[in-house]
Amino acid sequence: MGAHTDLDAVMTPVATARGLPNEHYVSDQMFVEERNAVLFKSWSGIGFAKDVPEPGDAKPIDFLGMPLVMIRDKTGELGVFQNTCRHRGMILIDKAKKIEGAIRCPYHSWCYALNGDLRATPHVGGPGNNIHEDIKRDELGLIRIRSFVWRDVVFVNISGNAPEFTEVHADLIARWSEHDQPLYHGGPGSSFKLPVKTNWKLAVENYCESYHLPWIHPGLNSYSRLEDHYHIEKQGEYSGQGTLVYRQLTGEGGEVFPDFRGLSDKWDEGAEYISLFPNVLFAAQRDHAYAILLEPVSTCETIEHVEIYYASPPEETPDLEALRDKNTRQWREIFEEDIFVVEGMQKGRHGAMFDGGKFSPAMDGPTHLFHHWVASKLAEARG
Amino acid sequence: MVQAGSDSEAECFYLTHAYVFALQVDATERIELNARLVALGREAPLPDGA
Repeated sequence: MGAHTDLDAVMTPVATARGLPNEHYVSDQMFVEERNAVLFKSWSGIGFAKDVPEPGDAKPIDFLGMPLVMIRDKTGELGVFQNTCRHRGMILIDKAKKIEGAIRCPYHSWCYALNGDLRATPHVGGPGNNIHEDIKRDELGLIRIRSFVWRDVVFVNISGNAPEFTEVHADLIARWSEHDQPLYHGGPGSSFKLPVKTNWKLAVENYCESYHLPWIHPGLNSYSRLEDHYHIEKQGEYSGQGTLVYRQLTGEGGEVFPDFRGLSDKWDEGAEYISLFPNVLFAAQRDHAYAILLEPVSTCETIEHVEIYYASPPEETPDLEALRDKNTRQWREIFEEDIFVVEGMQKGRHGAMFDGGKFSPAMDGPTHLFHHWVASKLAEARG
Repeated sequence: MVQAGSDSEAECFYLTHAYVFALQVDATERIELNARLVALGREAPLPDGA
């Protein structure tokens, strides 16, 4: 069924296009096709560098059924590996932990260095003999997955053959170059997860358009009106929305978060919210940023991992802890307002006569751009 | 397994276990244990700095 969906109608201009057919949201077969053709072949977000801050820190991640592990090695470099022993395929690391020296497989104790090199193969040549001419350690290191960290998000390219991250996303990196400065995570209170009963793509689509703001986020709309927003559209890379009336959060005593350094006037009242395809949602603002990593769990289940960052480390600004908590509550409330929408669209796609949907040429450009990108990736894989 | 040379087998067996656990916890003893196993022809030398 999956290979036969008609993508032609998706890839016409927005004025005439239809959205991706229902199967792309409700079919398990299509979920697998998109995993292989879209998520594995591009640069997908899997985690956050802040979760492995020190050398030796390791965190396992199940990404679309693929066992991975993020490890920070002794030089401070973050690497991502397949979390599978090269001997019998045993899972190596089953929970986040500090690796003091080597990663020891719990099955037959093959040991790997933090950079993935195979270091020891006990009894591999018989009892007490740890070498064998057919066990070539330099060919049996952990399988390294291409990875790149941007704005603290750890991206991987599972297929191994995508162009470099900095090449694929050169435009956005340049667009937000003023924000290329240290991001300090706000601490445990600046982190939360929202499990939603929706296909991962609907969360992307909802994030990249401003059309829904007055209806779904009336509180936000009270000071940031629909007409204060503009579309952000970069074919084949990302889409989103910007506002011209960003307003800083203020505490009870009038305190605000410190700004990122050296930003141009554009960011005084401007902010941008971008879906970086396939599965990471970013915000750039003068005084804080966030990233939402969409973890596609199944055809109709997604976990939104939300992490909020500031221009100063929280330990240097303990007086702003209450304001950080208020900020987390504010964003959580806004993101929770979106849940019934993405879950409702998921249910709506079981309507057999739904034809993918008619886009507004004026308002749905960023959404169509994402549909077009997904369809292009699928078409490329189908050949 | 009882046979000729079993003392040596037992030595290598236990050295191996000590070596693996020293590697796991980054204990400095890994250097000496590695050297002993290498001298017995039972292990490859550790790379520099490992």
